[in-house]
Amino acid sequence: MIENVDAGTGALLVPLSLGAYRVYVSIPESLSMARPGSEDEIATRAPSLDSMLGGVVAFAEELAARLRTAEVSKLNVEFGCEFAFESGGFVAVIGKASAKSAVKVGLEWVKPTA
Amino acid sequence: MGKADGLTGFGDRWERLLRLATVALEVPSGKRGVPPVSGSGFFVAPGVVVTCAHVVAPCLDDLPEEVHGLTTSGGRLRLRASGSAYMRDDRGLDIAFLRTAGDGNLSDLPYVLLSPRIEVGDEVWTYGHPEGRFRGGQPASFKYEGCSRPDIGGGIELMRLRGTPVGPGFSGSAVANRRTGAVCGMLCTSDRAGSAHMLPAHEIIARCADV
Repeated sequence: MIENVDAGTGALLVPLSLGAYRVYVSIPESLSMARPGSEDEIATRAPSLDSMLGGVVAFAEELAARLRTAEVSKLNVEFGCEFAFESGGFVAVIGKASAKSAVKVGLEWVKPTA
Repeated sequence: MGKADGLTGFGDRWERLLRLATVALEVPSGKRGVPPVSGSGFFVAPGVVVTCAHVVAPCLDDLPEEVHGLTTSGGRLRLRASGSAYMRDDRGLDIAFLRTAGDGNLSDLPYVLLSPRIEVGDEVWTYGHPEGRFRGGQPASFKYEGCSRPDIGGGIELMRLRGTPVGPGFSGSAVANRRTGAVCGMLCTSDRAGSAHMLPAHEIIARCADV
């Protein structure tokens, strides 16, 4: 796995293999910098789509499960997600949905009528 | 040959030996979709390679049957992993031994001399197989700063190094003490900014007999 740096923004470009295709995931400089004092294992592990999206899906599922217990008939939730690169894998960074978010996730739940 | 030449020769010999005993490791995808991993390792005895356990598998359940090795001289190796030679816990232990398999002629592959002798301030040197342009092999130099302990309640003391920033692929690289020429540890973690830790040689020596 060879990382590249976007010369314009300083973002880390991490290659991701998707079957026969190869895409780059852009990691903002603030989320990809070396952190003095915080050490990680230094084996090279090719990042996978599972590691990238697994955290987002788990967060969305947990959020949906909690919201279903609310005493309301309809709910809309939206959150944004960026990706950090840590220990050779992607970590989802959940935050407020904005135009800058790498991924925006919208959840809508309507209480079933009896 | 004068004294200076003799010292130069000493350095040349152990550096060359360490490079020849080092192996680039490629671990194929695991049983449960564990992505492929690259790292380094080195021969500690005829037919026995040591590396970090985290290079071979994240946990015992994901242990692959075989790991691929490539020597500095271009020789391809098949290396067998086994549960009894995979030693990892959450208190710092991170060692795996691999055995050569197949019919290749391995008799001329050198192995390193391990020695725990090291003092704060000693200059140390490593040779590993990082990802990227220098996967074929790259050196790095450090100074030994003393021991760190990950766990307050005990566990293994790791040796802290400071020097050339090293990144992914260096896990499992042998670290030699320039003063003795012997391997005093094995690289396991780094912050990619100049701080790194190695497992002490005595932890490897203590477990060699069990393999």
